[in-house]
Amino acid sequence: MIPRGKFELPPDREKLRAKGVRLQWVSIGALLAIVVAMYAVMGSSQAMKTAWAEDLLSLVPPIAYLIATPITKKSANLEYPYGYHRAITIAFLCAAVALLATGLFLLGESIYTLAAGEHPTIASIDLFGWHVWQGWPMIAVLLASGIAPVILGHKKLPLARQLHDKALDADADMNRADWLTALAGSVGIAGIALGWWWADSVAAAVIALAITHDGAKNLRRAVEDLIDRAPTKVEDGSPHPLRQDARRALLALPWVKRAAVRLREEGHMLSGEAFVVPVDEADLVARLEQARDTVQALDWRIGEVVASAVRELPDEETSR
Amino acid sequence: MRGVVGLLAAGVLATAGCDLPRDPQGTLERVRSGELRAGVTEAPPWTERGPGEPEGLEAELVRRFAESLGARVVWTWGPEQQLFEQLERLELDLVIGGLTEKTPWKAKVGLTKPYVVQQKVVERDGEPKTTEHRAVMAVPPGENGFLRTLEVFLRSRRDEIAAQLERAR
Repeated sequence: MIPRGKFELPPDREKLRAKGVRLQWVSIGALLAIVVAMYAVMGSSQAMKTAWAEDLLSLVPPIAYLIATPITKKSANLEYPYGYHRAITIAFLCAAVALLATGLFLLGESIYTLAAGEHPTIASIDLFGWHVWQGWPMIAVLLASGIAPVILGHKKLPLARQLHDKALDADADMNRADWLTALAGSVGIAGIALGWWWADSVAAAVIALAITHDGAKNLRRAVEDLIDRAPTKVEDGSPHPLRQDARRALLALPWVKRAAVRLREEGHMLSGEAFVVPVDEADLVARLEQARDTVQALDWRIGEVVASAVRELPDEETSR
Repeated sequence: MRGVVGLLAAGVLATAGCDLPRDPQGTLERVRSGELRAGVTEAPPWTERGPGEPEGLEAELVRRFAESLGARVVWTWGPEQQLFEQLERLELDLVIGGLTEKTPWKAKVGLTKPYVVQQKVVERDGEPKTTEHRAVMAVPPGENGFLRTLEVFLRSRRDEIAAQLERAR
């Protein structure tokens, strides 16, 4: 077994990754505080329970990120010759499944509560010397819980785009959408205050739908990486221009008659194969090395490309 | 933008009423100047059978609560199970009888938070053990306005209740 060469982020991207790691630590701290505060005032509101579950689940992506990042940095070795780049993708697969399963469960629970016509009872508690209806601190905590994640999400998003980190991008998206959870939960409790008992379950269902959507979206992204889908852009999942650029760069070489590539995403890194039909068989080894270097130089993300010489390539349509 | 919406919502709520929270089924409205249908199960010293109306600490509290609302009490004696079923169906407005917050009915009906805590010494496995009786009253599920009014009333009588409990020991 020959291990792959080391793939390193350029220094400016490495700094961004370090910033990402710091933001994830801050996220964990903020989310823990939110989760504890929510638990303290929770009571029997379905909306509040669902919002709490959502915030608890929001801890999973940052924790997965912090665990997976040092693993992905490990060099390839004889036992793992391809390296550890997919560690982060696996972490996100797990997180996505957890999100999806929990979202569906909570959705089912809120629909059941609504259908069963359960009227939520909220009593009054002692808070710092005041005898208040528990709904008020619930609303306050819910509204406050929307602030930190939204700010953190906005900070993480540009980082994710510059690092082409889909896992971080998905996490940032989830954070930014936390305002919806906070608002829905507050509206649910406010509804209870106004005597609309069903507002609670409806709000819970809305939040559960958001969780389910996040889970499904993350799951799709993780699976795409794991089954070697051709590279797509972080922002919108559209085909990445590198698919064409790599082939064009090869065709620009004077000794290349025809060329085709295959690329896939492995976490941060892109890797793949290049197939060239040379004009003649002179200097083949040096030329193949040139082909490899040409493609790898196109983008900092391209880690390893294996170049092969072939006698012929299939027609243009099947190898665009 | 979202901040503005939030503030507006808060403003609407604030002006919409200091009569919040409200009852989905209008219990408080109905009880005020009307009837308070109270279910009672025997549990001295909290509730006791008397020659006429129910007696005991909680029965007395319910009478005064009704008075504060300008209502008259209609009592129903019964076992806990039956009373809770009636409460769930809103055939009763209140149930008392030495209930604690540990009652398994708490998922099906509304409970006050404990309005007084009594320390008791009981015998368990031949050993004296101190336990807490965290006293609550039960109301129909979801009737949060009525519940709040009851809790505010009980809170205002807190010291008096504690003193009476001491005497009943």
